[in-house]
Amino acid sequence: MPPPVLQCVIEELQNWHPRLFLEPHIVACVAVLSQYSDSPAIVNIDCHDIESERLEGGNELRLELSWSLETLEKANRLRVTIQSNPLLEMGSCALAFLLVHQLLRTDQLDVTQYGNRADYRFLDAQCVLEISGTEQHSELERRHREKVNQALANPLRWNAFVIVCAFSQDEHRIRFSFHRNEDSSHE
Amino acid sequence: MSNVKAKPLPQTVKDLLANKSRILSQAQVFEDMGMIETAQPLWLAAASCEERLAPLMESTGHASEAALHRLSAASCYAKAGQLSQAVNFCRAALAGPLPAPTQKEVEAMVKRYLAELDQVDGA
Repeated sequence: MPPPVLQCVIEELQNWHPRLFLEPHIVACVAVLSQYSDSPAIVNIDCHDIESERLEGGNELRLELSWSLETLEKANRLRVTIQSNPLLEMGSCALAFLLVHQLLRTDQLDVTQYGNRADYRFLDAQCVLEISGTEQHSELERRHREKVNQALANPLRWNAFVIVCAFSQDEHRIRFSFHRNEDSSHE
Repeated sequence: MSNVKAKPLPQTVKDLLANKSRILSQAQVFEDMGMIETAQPLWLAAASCEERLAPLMESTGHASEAALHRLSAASCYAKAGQLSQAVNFCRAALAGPLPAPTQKEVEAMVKRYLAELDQVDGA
């Protein structure tokens, strides 16, 4: 059976997470995706331990993501003003926040700064969110493992959601997983 | 969500968290885009919010999260170039319930900030 299809317009993301400043992430996401595909881009999502009615009992989802011409123009400008790594990370964050809203049905994310990195945690559940992106498809598995370990080592020892995005000419794929922290000591 | 529910927070704390997250995410974006000077006042504003949040979290029984907000305040002050404040907040965070690996990371942050402070003072 083919996976369920989720159709989204990327510009709606800011309305879904009003507590975060996401306009540049939206544009960055289009800057990354539009290098490989026209709108709508197809993103295949593999889920592990994610409970969501969107999945209709399965573990896969096909995201059809569209964007406007105006955003594409902004994306073309952004691509020449920002380095590829932050662009990739911001674009991955946009997709992660989209999935958090659409699959987990929450906008309750808090962002903190820890050294040089941004940390995200949910306010309605004792859980953190770890996000990463790559343009090497073969990197997806390894990066995901690395991010799971990093997420579970969070200072609160909370459970973790991990979202890793891989963008490439062949396909865009996201691994979205939930992990229980064994040494969790919930307050 | 397939998860342990968080303890509820008062609305005033939720509002402050929302305001802080918006400011902090702006600061992070501007820094990523190389707009360091634009990010500077935002780092300070975010640090100030985190500073207020820490005792509020503590008083509502969220001691670990309070330590996290102090760490975030420290990191934001460091980004804004206020290294003495950064050191103070790291030390305050270390007094809270942090797991051993995080304590080591924070101690390393303190050393780094103090070294940077020495360089600034020596210049």
